[in-house]
Amino acid sequence: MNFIKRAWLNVIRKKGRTLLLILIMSAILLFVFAGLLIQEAASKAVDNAKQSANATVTLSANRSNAFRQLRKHKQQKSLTFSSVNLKTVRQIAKSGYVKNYNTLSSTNGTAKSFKAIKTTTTNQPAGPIGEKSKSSSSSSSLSLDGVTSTALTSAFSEGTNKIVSGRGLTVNDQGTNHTVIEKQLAKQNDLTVGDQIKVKVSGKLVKLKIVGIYRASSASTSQTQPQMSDPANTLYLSSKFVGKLKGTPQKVDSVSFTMTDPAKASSFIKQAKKSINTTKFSLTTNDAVYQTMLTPLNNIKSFSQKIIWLVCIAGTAILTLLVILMVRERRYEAGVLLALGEKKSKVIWQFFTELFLVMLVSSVIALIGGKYAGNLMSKQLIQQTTAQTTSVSGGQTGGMPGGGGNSQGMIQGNSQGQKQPAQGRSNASASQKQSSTLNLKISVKNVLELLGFGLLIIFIAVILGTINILRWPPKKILTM
Amino acid sequence: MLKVEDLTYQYPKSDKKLFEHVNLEFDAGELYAIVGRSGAGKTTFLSLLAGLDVPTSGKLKYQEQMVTASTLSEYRRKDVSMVFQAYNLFDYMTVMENILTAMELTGSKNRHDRQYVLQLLAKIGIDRQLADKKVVFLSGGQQQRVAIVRTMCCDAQLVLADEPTGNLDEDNTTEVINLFKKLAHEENRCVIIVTHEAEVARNCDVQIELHQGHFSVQRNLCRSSK
Ligand SMILES: Nc1ncnc2c1ncn2[C@@H]1O[C@H](COP(=O)(O)OP(=O)(O)OP(=O)(O)O)[C@@H](O)[C@H]1O
Ligand SMILES: [Mg+2]
Repeated sequence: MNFIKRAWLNVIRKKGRTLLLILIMSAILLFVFAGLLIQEAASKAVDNAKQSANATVTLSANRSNAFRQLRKHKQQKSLTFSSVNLKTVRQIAKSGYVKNYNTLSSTNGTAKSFKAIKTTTTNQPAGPIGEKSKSSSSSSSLSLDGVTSTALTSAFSEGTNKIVSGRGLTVNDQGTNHTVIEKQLAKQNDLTVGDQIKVKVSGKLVKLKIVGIYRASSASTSQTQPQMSDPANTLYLSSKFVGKLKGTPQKVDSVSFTMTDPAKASSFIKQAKKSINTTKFSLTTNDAVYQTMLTPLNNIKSFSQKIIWLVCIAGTAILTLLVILMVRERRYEAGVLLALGEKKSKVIWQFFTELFLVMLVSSVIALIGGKYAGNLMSKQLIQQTTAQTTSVSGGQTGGMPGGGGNSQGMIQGNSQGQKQPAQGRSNASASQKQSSTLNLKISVKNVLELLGFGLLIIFIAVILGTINILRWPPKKILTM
Repeated sequence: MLKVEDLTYQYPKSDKKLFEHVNLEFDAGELYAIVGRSGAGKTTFLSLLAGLDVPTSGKLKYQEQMVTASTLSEYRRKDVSMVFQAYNLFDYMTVMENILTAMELTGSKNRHDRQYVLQLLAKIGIDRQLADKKVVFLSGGQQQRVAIVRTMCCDAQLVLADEPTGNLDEDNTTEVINLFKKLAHEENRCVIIVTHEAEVARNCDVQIELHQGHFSVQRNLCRSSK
């Protein structure tokens, strides 16, 4: 206990030196703590991204093979795409990689009990809606999209479409005539949830029951698919029902499997290929969003890791030098202590305790300042990394304007504890957002980690600082 | 009480042996003076006796027990107390704290008795006020006297002092020598001091002279003057 008393006296009596040590230690620990906070926030963001970034693998007809068949058999007049057997789908879906799946089957029909929206005016928002409705055009055709669940479709999960009234379709709606229609279409025809509508599909009149109304943000759809019919003319139905309409109730056009872990998409493809005829069908992954979202976060994560190690090494070096100087200056004290019969280990413990007291004060300073410094640093980091990846992803993903934008939207979304916001879908909006920050939270774990790193640093510094002195006999120390 | 057997010492980096095959014996209740030219090796010899350094060869026996590497720290704490030529005190402590720290470290029986310490300090001219001052505010001679009191406060049976009167005036020198005499004669301790001053040496029970030429070959350098 004697050495603790000596350490305490030394720290409080030599105020100037103690203050200097606190200053240096605070600076070191501040960076370590900021690094720890950023790293944790980044890895949390990565986890969140993994969960919310739905990487999907789509099983559909092998298009290139279909075209090849067309060229081979000249007598064949149209492309024939093989449809997927539901039995195969269920078998593949048993894989542990699959979180859930969405069967997709679509067909066309014409509106009977109501009027479809005319297409030609979509890109001229100036035209009033009333005008559109008057022109009953040739394109009264509807696109009937059969799904397992609307929530699983990319349009809904990415936020292009939103349910505004009623509900979306779920697995429970399979085989029923329930439908979800677009708000504009509903408004124009005075339709509400619960109403019945009639459509004509391949000559047959079919009754449908509206269970929900969604709003499509047509801007982005018309941007990416300009030649398609108005998105408002898309009706969502159960895929089984669409299959019945097409006369193939056990088959669907394609299936999109949502991965439990987006990183495992390629492993899943390898596994699933065993169950399908690869000349007829193909499996394509859509993890671009996931990849572009993750790249900047992973960059930040590894960068903060490097910061921690760099600061730790540099800090230890600086502190070790200081301790060496300090011990040199105090070698007589160490020598006299040894001459009085004190153990070497106790002398080391005394120096260690002195630095530990300094570290405690510095830790408090680092705790107060670390969050502030971490916020500043992470802001800078995010601005730099997202600027990089946005330009990269722009070239890579081409038709995926959501790429870079999403990643930034993601970071901000996390910082506010919200779900992935829809507005991050275009590059334009992404580059405008500059105030993104990681969500830095101080937890007990962080504090313990900080203290751990601090202890490690002073431990190394004291050992390296004292070893050169204390390995000698006291006589030598006193005459050095 | 303390026996030096066939002791040889050579600094690791020098090529000359400082002394060779030394045989000496020190008894309790006696005050020894080691005299000799500067650079003769008095401090080195005293350090060996204090267990602050290990001899190149030879033995050090305390109360018929070999002092070995494993018992060195214990020997230093319990049996020996040393006053150095310089740098004796902890500069961040007061006079009193310095002494109490050493007493606690060595487990002195008087370690909780401030009054006892103050009495001893008063005897060599250090008053209560000075006792609670940091040692950096004391003169070199005052610091030297504090170091001697620290040695006396510890219960060690063997007291070694390197030039304890080097910084002192005549009055204080006499006082310090009397204290050492008291330690040896009344408390039956073995006191060995190194000194330049012939007057101090003459006051001691035994004088040991280290002479450059004779040092390594002469076996018994003792000259009693009781
Ligand atoms: N650490 C050391 N390494 C090598 N040689 C040393 C060391 N310390 C002292 N010496 C040498 O050993 C010799 C004896 O030194 P020592 O300090 O014992 O002399 P001394 O008799 O105490 O002298 P003084 O009366 O001046 O204090 C000297 O010649 C000195 O140069
Ligand atoms: Mg000397």
